[in-house]
Amino acid sequence: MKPLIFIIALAFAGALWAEDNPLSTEARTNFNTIQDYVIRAAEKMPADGYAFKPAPDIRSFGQLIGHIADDQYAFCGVVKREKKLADFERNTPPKAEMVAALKAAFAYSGDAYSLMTDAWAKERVQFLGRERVKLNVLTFNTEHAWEHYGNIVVYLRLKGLVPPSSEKKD
Amino acid sequence: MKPFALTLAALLAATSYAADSKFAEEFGKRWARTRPLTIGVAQAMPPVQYEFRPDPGSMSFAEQIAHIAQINYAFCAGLKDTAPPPMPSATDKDALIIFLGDSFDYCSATIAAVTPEQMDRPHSSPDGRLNGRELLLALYVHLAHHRGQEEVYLRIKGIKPPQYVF
Repeated sequence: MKPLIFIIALAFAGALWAEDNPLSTEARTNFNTIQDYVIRAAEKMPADGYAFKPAPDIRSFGQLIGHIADDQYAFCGVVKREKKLADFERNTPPKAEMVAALKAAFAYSGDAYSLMTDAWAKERVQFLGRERVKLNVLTFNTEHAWEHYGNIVVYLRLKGLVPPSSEKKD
Repeated sequence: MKPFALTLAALLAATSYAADSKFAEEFGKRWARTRPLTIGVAQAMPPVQYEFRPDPGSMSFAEQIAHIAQINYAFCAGLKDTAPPPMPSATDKDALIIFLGDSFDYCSATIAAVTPEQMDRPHSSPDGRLNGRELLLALYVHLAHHRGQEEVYLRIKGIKPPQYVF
């Protein structure tokens, strides 16, 4: 390759990386926010509140936390092309162990967000019966955690606790 | 500008355009899919329970619906750098569902017309200054956060929420 072409290619590749990676950076920032809220909510609920459920036919607080933890492995394992499953929703451990499990699960999924470049994020994987780009799977993981954090907010309020996302306002 | 720099700039502009257009297109599809779920949650609650709130510090079910609609409008107007259109002061179920549906349609039209320049540039939003991609993500998770609360309200009232879709 001639030097000029090489330099052009190098400059173009570097510029492309800078141009393309904002998608990954933005996805990671949003994930970090919800990760922080869910972990703080799990820490905030007293141990005896982990069995609490506001209605008989829904998940207990502990099961909700376990569900979010399990799906960090289920969803982010897909983008990492690993099959790593957990079952904290069904086998809910006591609070201290569940909080530790949640943090470990977020460390696993956080790794996927941290390693992501936009080129990697655009690779296609099979997820929930369809082929999708990895970025969409990770965005779904973030959105899924936000939806369940919405559930968690009500559980906390019913226990007289202020959700982490409202702490500054209250 | 020298030919090399011009070519590089053109290539970068084309790449950015392609990435942002695809992002907006994909997002628009997902936004359209989440509309029936969100409307379905609103429809599932009987009118007499619209004032229900699980504890005094929480929004009522009606307030949750109105809040989602208002913030949908605020985010999507922000993406266009315009003020949101005048909003109704809806309180009853039927009017709130129309308000909610209209806010989805407003956002769908905004997303369909968004330009790559709008996607890259910072805008004012309910979550502060965000570029177009960040703004759309914030819109999406804000909706999920409040729909997640509504789902528990429904469960407390013995109502099963509509099946989740992705």
